[in-house]
Amino acid sequence: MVRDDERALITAAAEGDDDAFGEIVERYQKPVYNLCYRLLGNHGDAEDASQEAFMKAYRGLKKYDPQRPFMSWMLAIAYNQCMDQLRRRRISWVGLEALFNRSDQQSPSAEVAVAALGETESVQKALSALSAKDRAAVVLKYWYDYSYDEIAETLSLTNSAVKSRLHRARRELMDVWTAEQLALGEGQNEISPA
Amino acid sequence: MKSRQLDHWPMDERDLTAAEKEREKERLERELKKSPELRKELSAWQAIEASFQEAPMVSPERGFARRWQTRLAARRERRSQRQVNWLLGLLMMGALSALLLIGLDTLASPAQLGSAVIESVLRVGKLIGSGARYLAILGDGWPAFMGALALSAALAWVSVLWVAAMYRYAFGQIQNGVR
Repeated sequence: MVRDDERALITAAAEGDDDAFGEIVERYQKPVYNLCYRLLGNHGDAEDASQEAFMKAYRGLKKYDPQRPFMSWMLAIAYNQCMDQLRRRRISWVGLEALFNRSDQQSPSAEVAVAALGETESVQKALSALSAKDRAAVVLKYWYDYSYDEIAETLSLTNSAVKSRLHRARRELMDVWTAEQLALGEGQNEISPA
Repeated sequence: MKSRQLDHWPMDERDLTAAEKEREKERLERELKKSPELRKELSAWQAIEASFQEAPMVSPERGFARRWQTRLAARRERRSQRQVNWLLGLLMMGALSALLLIGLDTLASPAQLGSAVIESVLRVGKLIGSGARYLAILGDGWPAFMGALALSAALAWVSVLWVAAMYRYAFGQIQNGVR
């Protein structure tokens, strides 16, 4: 369900009030951007995808069903936008090194750089091992604390499909993580003096 | 190394009752005691979950909403430019067609340009008149009158639609119909 103040904003925006939609953008920019970033793997593409997602939401506002949570509707648009972008440009998930290279070129704000630094390389690598759809399910589960039903609604999947995606994703994440830990252990053994 | 052992609660996706959860916990604890592999996997999963929980929600650069407003304005600008281009194109096509008709008429006698223009206008009028006469031949009296009325109404409706479409293309207010 949508809160009353939010409903008023949505109604005003649907009637062409740009300031009202600007307020919606302010409110939802962070969750939308975060989803795009987690799915696309770099700030440039995440910015473009989230901007386009808001553009599509603006155009489709009259089709929005107020019985549905606005956040989940917005994230569904962002998810579809990211999938389109991935299909069109065949973007591959980049590791942390590529992320920093790209970020350097685009001179991001300190805020963005700090956010990127706060993540461990292992998280990035582990997520990159998943397919885009599995990654979306994992991101919605762990970053948004979504229930299976909410994930299913956002990704247009059945409840059981969400469960099987999450199960598979966990298996893959563990494989990647364990392999990485093993590699790290071997690296440390090589460095440590006899 | 492939992890294929850890399928216990809370790793699986089943919806369990409180009693079932308790039983699953006990089963997991029993198996953890027996299997070092399982212990490794569970600690790996706990580490992954912890790292997810520590990873922050990433924010866009400051001014995201302002950049969105700019993008929207640019889209509108492009759209209205496209509308003007369409209108100009249609007008050009109409003008060229009229010029072509008039030009064909004046090929034989270039001095009679003025009368050729008038003749072109009259030709359109004659065409409409022929339609009306054809209806009058089809039947006399009331049915022919109704037919002519219906034809006129249809023509008027098409003209109104065309003018409205032109107006919308050229000057229509663009709100949520951004392309």
